[in-house]
Amino acid sequence: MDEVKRWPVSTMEAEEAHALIRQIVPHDSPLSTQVHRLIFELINLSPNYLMTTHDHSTDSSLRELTDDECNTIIEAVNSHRNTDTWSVPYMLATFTDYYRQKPFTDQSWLFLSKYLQLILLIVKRQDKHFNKINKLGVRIRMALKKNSSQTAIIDELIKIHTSSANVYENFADIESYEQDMRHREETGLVKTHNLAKKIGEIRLAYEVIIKDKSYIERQRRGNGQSVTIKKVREDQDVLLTDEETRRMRFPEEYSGNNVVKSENLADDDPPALLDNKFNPTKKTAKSSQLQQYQVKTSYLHSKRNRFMFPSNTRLLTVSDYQSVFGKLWDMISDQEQRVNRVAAILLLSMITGRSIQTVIKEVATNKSQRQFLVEEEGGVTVIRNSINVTVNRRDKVKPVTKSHSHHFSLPLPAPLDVVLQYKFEVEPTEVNQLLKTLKESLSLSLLSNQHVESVLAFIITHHISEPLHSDIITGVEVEHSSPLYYTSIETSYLISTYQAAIKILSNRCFESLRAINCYRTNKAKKVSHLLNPENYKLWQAHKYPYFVNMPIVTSNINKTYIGSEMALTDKICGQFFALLAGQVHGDKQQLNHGANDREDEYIKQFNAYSLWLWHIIQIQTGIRPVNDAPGFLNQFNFSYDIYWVSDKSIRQGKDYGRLIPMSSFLKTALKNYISYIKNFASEHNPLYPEHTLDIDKILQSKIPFLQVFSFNPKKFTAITPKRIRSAVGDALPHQDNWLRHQLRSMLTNEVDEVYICALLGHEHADQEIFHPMSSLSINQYRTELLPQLDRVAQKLDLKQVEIKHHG
Amino acid sequence: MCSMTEKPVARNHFFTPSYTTLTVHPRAALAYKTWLKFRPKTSHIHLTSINKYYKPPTRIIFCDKQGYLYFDNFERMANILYHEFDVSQPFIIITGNDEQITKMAWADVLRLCFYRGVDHVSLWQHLQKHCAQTTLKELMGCDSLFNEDYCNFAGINIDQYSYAQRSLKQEKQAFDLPQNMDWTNG
Repeated sequence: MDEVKRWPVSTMEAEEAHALIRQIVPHDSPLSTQVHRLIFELINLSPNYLMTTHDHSTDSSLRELTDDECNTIIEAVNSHRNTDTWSVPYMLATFTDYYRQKPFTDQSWLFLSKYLQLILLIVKRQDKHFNKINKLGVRIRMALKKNSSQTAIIDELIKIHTSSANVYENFADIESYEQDMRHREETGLVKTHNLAKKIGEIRLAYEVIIKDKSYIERQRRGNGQSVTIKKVREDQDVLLTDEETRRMRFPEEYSGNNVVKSENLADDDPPALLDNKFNPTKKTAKSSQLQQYQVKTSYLHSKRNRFMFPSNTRLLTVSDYQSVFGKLWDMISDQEQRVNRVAAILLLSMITGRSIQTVIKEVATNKSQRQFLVEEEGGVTVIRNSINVTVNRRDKVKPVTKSHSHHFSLPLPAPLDVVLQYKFEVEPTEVNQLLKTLKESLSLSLLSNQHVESVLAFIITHHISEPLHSDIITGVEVEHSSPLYYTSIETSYLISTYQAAIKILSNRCFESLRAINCYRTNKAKKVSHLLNPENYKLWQAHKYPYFVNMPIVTSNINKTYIGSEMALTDKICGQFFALLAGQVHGDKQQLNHGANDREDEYIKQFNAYSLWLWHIIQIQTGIRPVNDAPGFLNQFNFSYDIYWVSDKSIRQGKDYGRLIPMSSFLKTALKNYISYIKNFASEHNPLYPEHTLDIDKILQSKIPFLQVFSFNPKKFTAITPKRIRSAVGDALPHQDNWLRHQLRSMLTNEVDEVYICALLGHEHADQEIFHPMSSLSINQYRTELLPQLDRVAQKLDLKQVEIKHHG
Repeated sequence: MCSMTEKPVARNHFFTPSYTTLTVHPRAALAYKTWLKFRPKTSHIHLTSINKYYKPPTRIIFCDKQGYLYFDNFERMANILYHEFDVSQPFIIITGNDEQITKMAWADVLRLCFYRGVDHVSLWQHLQKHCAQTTLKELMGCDSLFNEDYCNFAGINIDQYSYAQRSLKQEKQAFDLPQNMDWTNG
């Protein structure tokens, strides 16, 4: 049988005990005599736990501290800021305060008695463990605080000490309590994360006494401070190239606006499609001149590739694609099942723009689980596209947004629908085999699966010139194409673009079909003789309506717009601007300065005017709503109608910004505002010398142009999205950058994508309009966009705000 | 008050405001602020081309090396500083007496109640709050400072005054946006 381990209780002379207590209750500590006596008596409450004293004194009148005494101690400790050296008196006062109602025979006081013995034994060691006494005091004090999560600790400690008078058992219990708590914290069973550590401090104190542990000083590094390399990886450049190539940027935590993080990041710095991961180590790159040359050329090579110049030898011509498509089209209607399924894979890849891999995976899954080749309610299979935009969860705004969905569907030709009725598996080797056959029979030596996959994107981008539609229709991830975030686009545009693309792609089908029909059956020959080309086309249209006139997909019917759910309908947006303009009360002849600045209507008018102008600038420029937007006055060039902005919060200062044309509406609004603030300052500043509008600095572009008066603290300060949000409040609880969405959606399809992307800063690296190598002139950019921006102002029925002033 | 031995002196002086610092006397500061709040939003009369000997002079007080202080005639001074700061102006430099300065400053403010379109209710509130009662009684020439006294002095109808008082309260909050989306229905 196990012998229960017993603690060798040491007997201490009363004098020694008093001397030890003196160390934790110094002479200068508050009410030291009372505290000293109380501790001595408390220790004697549980003899033979850790120690026993030879108490010669006869009067063992145990008297607790009174209310006043406790308060005196607590106040004195706090006022002297001596919580560490007077930790035990402090603890005792707090404890007494809490357990005053309990008699000294209660388990709580018995626990304290044992706890004090432990403390005393630590003092006796006369080593650096003495520091632990402060911690032991803190643990009890904190646990006694109201509503503290640490209250559980003292309850458990009392329980443990009541269950056994053996210190070893107590220690084991505390240890398992600590481990249990740690486990619960790590597994998330409890929400706190620091209790185990605190129990550990107490456990350690017991361990020191029981196991007689010596103090081990923590090792420190050379100069006494821990050195952590805190260099944030900000840029990761491809080494040793003369030009700026690709930078990887890691987002700083930016809490100034309420735009969804992913959107903010993608908008600021979309991952480039360029995939040049080759990054030699510094040494390698430096050692070899050749290496350096290679990095640069491989980079340039893949970059040129992305431009997709028609002169690129890796591209096929449209007629090549058409013949591939025609050949495949024949195959799915004529050949045996095996072949027609493989052909269907390639065809599907061509008309959906998805990779062959993806299509193989898609057709191999159950109908109900398919991602983009889904069956609609009527049993028709369609291509389902979704633009993965930021979902608008603001219920109040939802009813007035332009688009209510980010899904739309495109019809599939009937023969493919038939093939897709059941799931089937196709080996990639079979597809490659078919590609090989095609290569030979059509003598297209360049043809590869990449060509098949990119044909739809190629045709829409380069022959229909709708790069945005191409991204949407081919299912490009929104992270790779930030414009998608902002697009509220009319569904009919997308469908007609797709129709046009399919028409181009299937152009050869008619010819080949005619050819087949011509020499296969005499009947057809006869018929075709009778048909003139016009009628023949109609006949084809009847047979393959898909190519000529796509069927309507039922799920699209109620979706006039799809995409970003941030843009409001033009009518509501216009109403909002009218509301903002109305709040300025520009027509009021006389306002009231009020009794103090809080009531001053002129200040309120100033704020309302700034609020309106901020929104006007947003809708007319589409800039990001960063702090201090729109920047300084000298960023507006009134003679060239151009505004320069650098609004990227993530790579601040690193890029060179972009130019934005200033519409005539915006120009007038700014000019009116400038003359208004001049006049405002002349009235406001003498009246409130303690918070003046620094008009000179605004005009000299030393402080941000758009200011707002803040009441706490009282001063004029640059406008921030946060202030805008609180000023607008529940009138329109929306994402800060909603006007960027609004402008984008109002420009889409009205003006060439190139200009919109340039305006919003959504261009790919090195393809910017203002790139030194760009052949586009700034003037053309300006003249294309200016009328469009003014059209936006007109469509929203924006009215100028003007404040009449005299003198 | 000036003692009999120290006779108040006044001398004429011409100078161009843009070369001199002209500020409001600290004793007139409160009155000046009140005047600023209620200054008439009227056009000004162009005196730029008038010969300096014909222009109305403004009383100012010498204030060590920093310049001169003015304490009344606020409207004329505002026009000078805004439109005629670069032409020579006539000034009368006098020795200052704090009590006289304060009274003259408030007298200039009190004159505002004769202007058309002034916000009588707010002006009277300001006067009662910031101007010493004895001064106000003396300047208005009355024994009490009830609304009736003001109306009597300003020459307006007490009913007009009460009506303005009521409508003043309603116009507050007009600059803040409504905290709901009801505007979308409109």
